[in-house]
Amino acid sequence: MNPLQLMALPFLECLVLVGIHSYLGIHVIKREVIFVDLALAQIAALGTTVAYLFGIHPHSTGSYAFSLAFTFVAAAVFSLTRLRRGRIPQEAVIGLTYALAAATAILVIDRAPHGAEHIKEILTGSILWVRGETVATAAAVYAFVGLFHYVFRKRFLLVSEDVESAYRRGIPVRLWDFLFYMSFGLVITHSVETAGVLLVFVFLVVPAVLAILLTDRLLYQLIIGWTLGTLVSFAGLALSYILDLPSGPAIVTFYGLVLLTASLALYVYRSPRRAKALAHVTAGLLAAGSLLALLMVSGRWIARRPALAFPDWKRSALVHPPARVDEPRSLAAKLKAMDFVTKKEQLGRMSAETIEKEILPEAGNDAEILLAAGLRLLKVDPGKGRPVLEGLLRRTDLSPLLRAQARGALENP
Amino acid sequence: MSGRAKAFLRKSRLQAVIFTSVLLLLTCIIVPPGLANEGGRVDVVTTLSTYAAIARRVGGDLVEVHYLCQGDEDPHFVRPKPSFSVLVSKADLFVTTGLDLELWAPTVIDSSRNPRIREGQKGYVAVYDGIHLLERPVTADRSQGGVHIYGNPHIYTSPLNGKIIATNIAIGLGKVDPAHKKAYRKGLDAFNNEVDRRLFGPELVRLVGAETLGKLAESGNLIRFLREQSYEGSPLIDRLGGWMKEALPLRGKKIVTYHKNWVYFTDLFGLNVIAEVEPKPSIPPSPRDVERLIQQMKAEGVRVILAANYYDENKVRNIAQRVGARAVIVPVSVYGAPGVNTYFDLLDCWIHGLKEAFAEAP
Repeated sequence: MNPLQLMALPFLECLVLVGIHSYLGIHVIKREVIFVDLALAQIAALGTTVAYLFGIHPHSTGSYAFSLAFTFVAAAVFSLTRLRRGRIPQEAVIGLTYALAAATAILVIDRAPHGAEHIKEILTGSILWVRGETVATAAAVYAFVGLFHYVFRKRFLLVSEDVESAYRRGIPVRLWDFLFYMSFGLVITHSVETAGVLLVFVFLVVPAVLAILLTDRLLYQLIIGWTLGTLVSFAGLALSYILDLPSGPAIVTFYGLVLLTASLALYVYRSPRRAKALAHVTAGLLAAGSLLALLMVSGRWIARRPALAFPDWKRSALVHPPARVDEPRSLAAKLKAMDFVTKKEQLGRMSAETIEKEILPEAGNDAEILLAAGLRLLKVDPGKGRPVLEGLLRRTDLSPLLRAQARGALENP
Repeated sequence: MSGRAKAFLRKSRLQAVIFTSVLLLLTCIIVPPGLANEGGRVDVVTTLSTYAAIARRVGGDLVEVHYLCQGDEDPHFVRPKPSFSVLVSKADLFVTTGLDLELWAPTVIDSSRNPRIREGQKGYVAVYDGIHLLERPVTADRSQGGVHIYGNPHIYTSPLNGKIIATNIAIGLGKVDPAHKKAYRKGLDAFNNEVDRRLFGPELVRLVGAETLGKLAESGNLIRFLREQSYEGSPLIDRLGGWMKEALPLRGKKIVTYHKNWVYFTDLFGLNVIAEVEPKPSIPPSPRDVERLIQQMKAEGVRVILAANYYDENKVRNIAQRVGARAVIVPVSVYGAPGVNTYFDLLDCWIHGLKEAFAEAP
């Protein structure tokens, strides 16, 4: 399988995500509700978790219905809590929803096994493992939402950009808010399941931030967002493949780097005194570089000192490994630890003298050794072998197989 | 409406939102099951549910057994909960692997403030004692992934080790409850005899003896021995029964496992594990690892992937689908799936799962 085959589906999924998220991101930034996607994603995850509690498995239709229902309830909460002259910012409600949903999810999942894994999965997603059908459904759902937003684009934009005039014109802001959050939740529920909270967040925010920095026209903003999203997804996935890094986090950090570079470049480009701005940026980069160097030096220094680098209980485990199973010393003791076949092989090579002097006195009641020794002796010195086998046959605890072998050897040597 | 009235309304709406959220939160919390302690019984707490199942067999009615890690939970990553401390604080016997599998166990022992079950006390049982550990690392450092510094700690996957574990538990029970030492000895014998019968079949155990069979099986010489030796005119292999017989078609078959959970099991039953999905223990695979694995599986014609049910099923099924292999997703411990209520059910579940997969695989 070549890299293209492996990375094709994740890349397609990225494209599908970029398409809708760049657009919704612009709304989110204009509404100043940056963390609404985190909150909705967490609510969706809570829905999945609660469904799991009922025995409905993640990634099933039932669990999708659950998370969707939860998101719609949250959408209603968000549209109800936006007030025309509210004293509490919308972000407070969103933050609270996020924290409550996250904490509740942990409490709920605590009742169900492999909860920790599940929560980690929600955070980082698993875009590398996306399946063809998932990409197809995502594309269909996002296209539907996109169409919906295109048809009512004027209302949506007005409510997002200039809510005051929407109020003045008598537009039911609460309804449009609800529709916005509902369609947003529809998208988020889908994307978080495959891409994870982190990736969805950067897909939403980074292209929109950069586009808004560069231009005021929605069409240009969208084009910038889409181009950037496509390029960064491709580069991020390629980087993840070449350097062998987890795909989701690779794209996220690469996005961050691009945004940082672009905004620094813009800062220099737009500044009235470019030379001075360039000097600022260089100084900043140098400072960051030396901090990084300091971090690396101190990290290495600490790691070499067990007193600082290990918790007490682990250090003691390193110093005192558990007692090992005792290695047997004498020949007979070594034989006792072996299986019957090996015992026969080993004894089959020994001389009558070794067997008599070293093995038999220490064999104790090990029937396997006694039988193998008797058989060997019978071959090299029948006079010595007979009594050993006869003694063995007198025992009552001898297994039928060993008894048959001993008897057989005595009867026709 | 006055300004104050408006402010009040606004406030009450927010209150309503918070109130509903809190209600939602409360409905999601289920009251933990009662932790009743039956009088007179020895209170045993084990880390893994499999040890609990074995302890219940050995101790019978004399013991009350609880376990901390669920049967379908990853024993490497258990987050200690307050209920753990409560359980352990009144335990007479604490049963743990004793290696570095349950790294969370020392924390639980410490927080329980129960002096009777500290390491080195009568009430502390490390079940690995006497087991020949596989995969002992030459160097221990975390760059190799979650390497266990003493060797592979998933010891109970071999029934032969299960007998040693039961013995260690019985010894521990005899120490904390000397009055019933004989009863524990009896329970242990019954358990170990059942393991032998289920592993080799009752007839072979009678003919050859459990000890001889156990040593042969552990060194990998059993099947050769049974083919070469005969008893009353027929080869001994005809008298083989139990799991060993069931698993005969699995011998030498190539499989891939997700984590090194089954080293002792595959070693005993002669399965050939050619690779793990995880590139290094407990480190999730990257794209390249997956690609490498898929190529290797195709090249070697691997038809079955074995994974614990606490890993992401999608990942396992995804890989299986791409190479046209079967995914066998099983509980790694007792009580980890419906119907797996004893140690014997667990082994049955693994062997049947693998056999079905090989029967279905193209």
